[in-house]
Amino acid sequence: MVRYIVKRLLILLPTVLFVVFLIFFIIHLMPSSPGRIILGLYAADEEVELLNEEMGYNDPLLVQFVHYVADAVRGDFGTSYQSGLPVFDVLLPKFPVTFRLAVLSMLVACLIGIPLGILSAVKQYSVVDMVATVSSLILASIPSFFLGILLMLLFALKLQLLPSSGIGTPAHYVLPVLTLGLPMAAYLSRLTRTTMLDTLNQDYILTARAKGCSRMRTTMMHALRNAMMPVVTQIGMSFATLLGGSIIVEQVFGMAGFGSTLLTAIQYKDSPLIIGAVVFLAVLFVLIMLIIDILYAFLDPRVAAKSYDTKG
Amino acid sequence: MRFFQKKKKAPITDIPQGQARQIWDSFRKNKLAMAALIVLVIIVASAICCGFVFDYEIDALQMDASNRLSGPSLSHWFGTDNFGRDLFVRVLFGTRYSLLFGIGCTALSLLIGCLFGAVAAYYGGIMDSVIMRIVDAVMCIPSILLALTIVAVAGAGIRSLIIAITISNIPGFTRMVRSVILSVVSQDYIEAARSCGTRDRTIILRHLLPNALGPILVNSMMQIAGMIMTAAGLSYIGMGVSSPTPEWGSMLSEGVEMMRLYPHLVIFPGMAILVTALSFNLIGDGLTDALDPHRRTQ
Repeated sequence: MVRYIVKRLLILLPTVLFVVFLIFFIIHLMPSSPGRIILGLYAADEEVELLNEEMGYNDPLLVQFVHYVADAVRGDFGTSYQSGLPVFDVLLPKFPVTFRLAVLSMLVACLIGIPLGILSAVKQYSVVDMVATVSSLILASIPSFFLGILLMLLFALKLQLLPSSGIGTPAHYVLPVLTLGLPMAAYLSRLTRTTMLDTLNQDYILTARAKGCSRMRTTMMHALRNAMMPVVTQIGMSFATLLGGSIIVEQVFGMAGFGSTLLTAIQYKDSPLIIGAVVFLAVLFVLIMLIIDILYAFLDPRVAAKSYDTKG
Repeated sequence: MRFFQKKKKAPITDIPQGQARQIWDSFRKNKLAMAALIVLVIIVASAICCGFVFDYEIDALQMDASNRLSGPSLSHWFGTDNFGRDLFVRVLFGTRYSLLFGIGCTALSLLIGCLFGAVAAYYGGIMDSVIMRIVDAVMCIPSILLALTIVAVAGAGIRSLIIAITISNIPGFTRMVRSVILSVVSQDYIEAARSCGTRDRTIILRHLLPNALGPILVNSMMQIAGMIMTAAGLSYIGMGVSSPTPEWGSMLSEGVEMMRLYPHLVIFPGMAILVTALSFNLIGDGLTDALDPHRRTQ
């Protein structure tokens, strides 16, 4: 297992390098001039050009890339054009907001989605199943910003129960968390339902029932553990997406999180900040996927055995 | 003679049917999916016909200061916006953009994804490893972030929005096409074609893709709604189509400041996205069920 983890960590390196190169390449296509962004609109052309030259912006792409990687290895990811601060000094203070949002949304999604999915599978074609199916279909078709706006209209503007924007108090998190969590809950419940139905039709469930196991016990102990595998993967992937993908919802609710910072960086063409953030998110993504694979081995002994055979 | 008669009475189901016909027959039994198909036909028809009934320049873009922010009425079904433009006409014209983004981006991603996915699955080995490692790496970047960066590079606008959404979706399509084709590549008839000395290109284009097309198309169908929502989302945060173009996302972002007093400004464009996405999703669901032989027999 340890060898497997080490091997996976080694794959991380080229993956992140490629991600950096890709973002580097895309951003280099952007017609911009860092000197102009830093010095402002009224600076003389010569000064701008001088600064560009000094920063190595006029070097070939590969040279810049190598310089960037060499600096990054030493922990220097460059400074933001807008604020002049090191990239991670800008990004990291914003991260807790987004992280909290992602964790809470995921929690809501799991607490609603998984039990609902199990219930729909056990009582297939019942009223609960129908309601869950219809609502999850609707939630899958509603864009996050529209759901956010609807919730805001109802709870913040009409009923005046919750604040509509900002990040001051826990109450500020309720609507954004629901906006992100509900569609995910819908998706998880659909997924749980499908995998549970597949598992409940397996022979070993029938065997367990024949041996006198109660329906509750077979569902909870025998079926659930096996049905959870794809769900766990999806939870991990959704969580990773939430960390980088809550840009739109943060915008709707005016939350000053990672996503908003990133959006401003993109609008201002603040390339060190964009690259830093993308690298950060990519590393997080790979790590989350690794944790899920390790979890898999715990959930399913067969996976662990296989990784010894072929990969370890 | 008796033997002959017996043969004549064979059940009708023995007549070989085309796969498409079978799928359509089972799709037709799904009431929800059929309803969605009818709604979608209406949506597509209105996208095509709205130009004949209304004048884009006059009805959708021209401002009318005397008629600002009126609620839904008989003369303005969805009311009017901040500039006195009829919301119903704007939502109608918005259909064109959303369908363009949804179907256009899906078709483009599918085309490129098919190329990479088929090559990876057919050749295997090093080709497969290289393509899939790249796909894995690109998938580490949240797709909305990748799309945003590309829009920032290419500048906001319809064309760059299409490019951005397409590029950020190619990895997913590559992976999907590859997995479908992998299941076809191991079939005997591919081996047979290979042993006949058929050229690789002919095998991929003539044998592999046609046989994998059904599942690939159905899977792509499921992506259209997502593309429509992504395009609207990017326009909403100002990184896509900008006003005065009647794109649903940008209409929503225009209306959001005034929604406390004039909720119709956000409700109607939002519902338009919801209904369009829902009908694509329902049709996709119906097709998935129809394509799955296990469920078809039930």
